[in-house]
Amino acid sequence: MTVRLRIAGARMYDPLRGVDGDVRDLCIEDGRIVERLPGDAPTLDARGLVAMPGGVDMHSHIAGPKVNLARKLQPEDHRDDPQPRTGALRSGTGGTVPSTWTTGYRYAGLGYTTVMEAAVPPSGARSAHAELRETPIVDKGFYVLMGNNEYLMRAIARGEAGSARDFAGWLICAAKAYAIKIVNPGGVAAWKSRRADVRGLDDPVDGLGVTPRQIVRTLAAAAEELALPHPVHIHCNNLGIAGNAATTLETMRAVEGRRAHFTHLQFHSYGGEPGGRPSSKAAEVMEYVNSHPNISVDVGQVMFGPATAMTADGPVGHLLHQLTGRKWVNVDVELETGCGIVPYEYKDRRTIHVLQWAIGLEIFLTARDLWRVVLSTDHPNGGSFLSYPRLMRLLMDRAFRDEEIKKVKANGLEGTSLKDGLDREYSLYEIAIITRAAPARLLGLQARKGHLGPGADADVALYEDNPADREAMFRAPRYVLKGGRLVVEEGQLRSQVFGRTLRAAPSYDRAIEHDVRAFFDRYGTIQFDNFAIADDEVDRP
Amino acid sequence: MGGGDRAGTREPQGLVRAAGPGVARTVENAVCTFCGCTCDDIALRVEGGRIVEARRTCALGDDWFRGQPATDGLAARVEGRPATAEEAIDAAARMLAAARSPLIYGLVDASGEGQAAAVAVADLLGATLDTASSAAHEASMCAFQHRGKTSATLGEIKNRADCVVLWGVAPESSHPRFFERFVRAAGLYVSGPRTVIAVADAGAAASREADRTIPIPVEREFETLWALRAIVRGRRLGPEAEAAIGLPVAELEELAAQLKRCRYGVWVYDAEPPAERRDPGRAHAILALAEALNEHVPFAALGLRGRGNRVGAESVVASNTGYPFAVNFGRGYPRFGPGEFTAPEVLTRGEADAALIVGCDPTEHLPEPALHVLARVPTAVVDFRDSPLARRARAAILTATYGVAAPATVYRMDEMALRARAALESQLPSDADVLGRLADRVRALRPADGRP
Repeated sequence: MTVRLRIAGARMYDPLRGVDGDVRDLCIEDGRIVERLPGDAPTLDARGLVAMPGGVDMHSHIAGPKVNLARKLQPEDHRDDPQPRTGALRSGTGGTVPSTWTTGYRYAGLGYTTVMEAAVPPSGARSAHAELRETPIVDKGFYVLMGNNEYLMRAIARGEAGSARDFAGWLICAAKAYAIKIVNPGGVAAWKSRRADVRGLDDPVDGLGVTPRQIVRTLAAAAEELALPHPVHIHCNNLGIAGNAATTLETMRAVEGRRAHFTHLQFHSYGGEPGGRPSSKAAEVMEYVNSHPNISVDVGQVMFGPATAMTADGPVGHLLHQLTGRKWVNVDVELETGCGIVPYEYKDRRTIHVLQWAIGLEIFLTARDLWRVVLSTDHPNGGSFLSYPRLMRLLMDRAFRDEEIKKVKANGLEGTSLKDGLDREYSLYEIAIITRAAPARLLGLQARKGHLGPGADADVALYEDNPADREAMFRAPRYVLKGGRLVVEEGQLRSQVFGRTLRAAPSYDRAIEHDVRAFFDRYGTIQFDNFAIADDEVDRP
Repeated sequence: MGGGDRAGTREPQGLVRAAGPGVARTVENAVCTFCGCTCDDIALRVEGGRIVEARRTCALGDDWFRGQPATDGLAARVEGRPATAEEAIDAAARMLAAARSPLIYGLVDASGEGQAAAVAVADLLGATLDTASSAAHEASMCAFQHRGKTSATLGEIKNRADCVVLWGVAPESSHPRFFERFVRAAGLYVSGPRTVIAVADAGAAASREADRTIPIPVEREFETLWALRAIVRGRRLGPEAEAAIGLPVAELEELAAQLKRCRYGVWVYDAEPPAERRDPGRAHAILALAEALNEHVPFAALGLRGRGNRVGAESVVASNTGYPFAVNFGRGYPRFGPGEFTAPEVLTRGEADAALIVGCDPTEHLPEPALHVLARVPTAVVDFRDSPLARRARAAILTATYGVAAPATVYRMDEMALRARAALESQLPSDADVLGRLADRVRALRPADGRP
């Protein structure tokens, strides 16, 4: 049966098609947007509402081994934030690390309909898929960790860029992943070997004859040669360390003009000396980003309040544990990566947290090409995705931002351009770019996501315009459609659908599998033939 | 993107080699769920619908596979009489839907998919949900929730560990292939002999795999761990400490020095100790010690876990609810209450007016008073094993054995998920199928608000 719906009279913000607030009808048939509908199609009266494509979060942590460990670790994170069962919807718990069902509901409840988990070890792909099967409504996928992979680093050290590429292709297919992720290239390997780290792009990784620069360059090239929909996704060395902006800029140069996405840039834009007091280098970093179209970023804004640090970057977990004295999880993951988890809280009374907050805003407010700058909090590292509406208001409403700036500990703003005031205010159109259109395009999903043109998935968020309080506006969309199905009606989550899992399937030379099998046989603890994810492990039957 | 695999990977097909039509075949890379090692390199010889030979198994795994029943037996019972699965599911659903405060208990011998379906049933019913391993693992889990853990996956032991401490455990009997697969195998960063130190109850037999054994008085286990941690952290202990730990301080100092000299250490302990050692302080002290060692060298705490898919039970319950066990849905959302919503307490308080037992034999896990109460509570059973409990239950549905006769996601004791394919064909439904149908039936009986 053909299901049709006309959304009539909404003001559309659809930057991929250059639509900026025009009033148009939106025609939906069988889950997709179509050119026109018969006159008798059912109509949703959306006069006065703002229509945007469903939000696309390209960097979040919602599934996989570290996320689930963080759930088990923190009953106190969930206790005061229950999600009751209602009608067809499952119960769950929230906090900074919500249960799977609650994650899907709450993303949809903000008008987000596509979410990418940003860091899954290959050996964690199975549990990540199992959790994504339980994550309703949103379309989802994950990036698979490669930057400290023992097989890959050896191939690079031997100068076999082709083997590295084919290995990356195999790993994407075996894990049913979407993109290549690098976390602290070489540094996690050093952490596992001797609780050390690497600092410079050309520092050798213990005994392997490989450097972070080689890892970054090889995988940036591999992503291009494999024609992956999303370029290599990089979490640089030295996250959170004073002076790391130099590393970040050096890493941007290391991709040698190739496309690359640099994630949670805020955490990588610090001046100063390692071990000393950080300062803002947002201006310098953004000058490079603004003038290099091969580079895209997401911000990794920190928002005051509770967070959970969870990362493949083992040394960062240790650093945060030392700084805070709070409980700490470290798991060294065989042959692949690491894992660090520390509960955290950003406070507007702490100089360093205020500085981080300000640097994130500086990045947003000095970005010249918004198609390469994406809104994220690196959920839940910089704060929950539930804080996105507040972040949108900070960007859209200068008066509100100035009031918030007055509340924070002032010396955290020293040396940032926020101190002198940045008067930029994002428009609805620009918000639609950094939360929908740009991430969809950077993910290579622009055929079906991030816009409202014919052929797009009918993922639509309809908001009541509220210029006085953009946070309230974006916190509670009036309607949300996923694949043409109404999931939020009159501001209430009413029904659930299941999205699909997005994955890449690159072509690669399968001769590599012979050698990978031999490596597995010697050093792995899972049989090569049991490693790859089967089709029936992805999505619900 | 998005679609099927173009070049793609070969879908793992279990490498089934037919030796003749319906006669005999070999299944490679089968997964053994008998202990927490979850070995996935087993070769099974299948003849006439039975496993007749298992290769690369240990003695425990051999018994597990060869003890699998032929799968043409009884499907279900209602009130002790043979019934179809459909009838038994309906009877179970009616019994559960009519209850005010049902208990769902077990999950340790079930697939990840079945465990997820069991959580759905608990959610629909507003039930209490607890795993059969919670009693044994509660102290370790609560210690983890208190201070985290420094740990590693099993392959890190294989590839890196040059120093293995066996703290009151003898894996050669509980996890027989532990040494072969993870300690004696050549690793990427360690090829020569590794140091294996056993620290064991002075009155008990220590691991035969150890190079040396340090006997300690078992009643001083916590004090010994805490003293060792203090030494690792650079404290000097006086003679009064020696009296408390029952061991020469010099011996502990030597051990601490040895641990701090290794390249990569592993502290292997029992995360599910016998009842008399379920002291949260002990578990806490082990995690704290390993954490302290990490300020010097990489050091992983590895808690040994027992048979079945008990790690999966915790992981699946946690992904669905935020909590690993002892979850009550009575208010319409999950609440966590170890010591409160754990099954022995729920039963002995007389709160459960119906029980659904999934994938476990309660007599192996529950204390006598709780079993005594359970015997009087209307009960339904979903399990691959027939049992006296299943025979006297209000409804019992027998399932295909997860991971042997039905595919299953199972979790190793380092929380890594594996996929076990079915080596045997079965006429019986999988646990996930039965529990999914049970959820549908309950939903039909208790629409929308979850109340009858």
